[in-house]
Amino acid sequence: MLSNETIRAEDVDELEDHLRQMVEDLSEPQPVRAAALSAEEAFLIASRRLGGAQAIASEFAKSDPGAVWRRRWIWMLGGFIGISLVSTVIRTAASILRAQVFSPNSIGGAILYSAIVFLGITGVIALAYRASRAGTSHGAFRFAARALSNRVGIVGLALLAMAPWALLVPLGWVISSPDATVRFSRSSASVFAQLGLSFAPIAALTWLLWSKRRHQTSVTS
Amino acid sequence: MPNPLPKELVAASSKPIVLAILARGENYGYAIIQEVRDRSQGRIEWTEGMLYPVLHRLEEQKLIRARWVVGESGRKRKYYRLSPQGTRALESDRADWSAIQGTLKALWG
Repeated sequence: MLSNETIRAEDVDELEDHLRQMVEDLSEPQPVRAAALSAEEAFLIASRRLGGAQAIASEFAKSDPGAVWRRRWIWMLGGFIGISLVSTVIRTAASILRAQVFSPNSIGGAILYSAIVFLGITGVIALAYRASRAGTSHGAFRFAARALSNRVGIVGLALLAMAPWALLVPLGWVISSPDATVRFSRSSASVFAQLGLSFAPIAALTWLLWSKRRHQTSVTS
Repeated sequence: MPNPLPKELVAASSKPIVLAILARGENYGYAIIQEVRDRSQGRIEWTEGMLYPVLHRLEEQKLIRARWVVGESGRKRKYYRLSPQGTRALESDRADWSAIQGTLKALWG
């Protein structure tokens, strides 16, 4: 239930107490019932009465439709900052390696650099995702785990962080290459590459959010 | 057993009922649902999906306050109580609902 975005960890605790209380009450003998229910029977009936996580989530979402987005933006921002830090480290390492192995402005160096950045960031995200799946129920990690357990967020943030940096160098290289029809200087080539690539993460994120919304409406309807 | 009340009436009366229950003392979700069931002789049957969002909204509006209490069993329970603002809101709700009740009573004789 914690993986659901509309319900906060605190709300889950409150509902859990509710469920337990219901189980206790059902376990007591009642005047109209011949015998008290066993713990298992009581739990089954109580959870059935409480309803599924999806049903409760939709009730919670109704009470405050904006809450989901407020929380989403917080973890998106947190994730973006986190991934920016990680990508800076990876990019620095890739630059150092590239300078050692290849001469400046060679295509081999550009490919190596992009490959390291791409694989590095993908690897970090995969590790974080696995950690969140493994289920860190520790309070301090709950927030991070929740943010990471959302696939849309991971893919969106990864693309956001990765797209400009991983592609910047090869695209700049193509634009400023001597074989290109229109030749630019090295610095203006980077600017053009950056401008062009800044659309990629925005388009990717828009598409992801749109598909997520479509998925949600198909679930609720 | 009489029919349950229409949804609109249940929704509209949820706030004054919650405030009125909490005016009698600090209470928690599960007990509030039972209290409502008892007081209405079973005519108002609140669900968890309805009550908790109402409680959280009233908490956000600062009409009620909440605190976590750890019971003897070590279980955490969220208790709600009326805030001074909530007391005032309850008074104005009381006036509104009495007006409706009074009007209907006068018309029905």
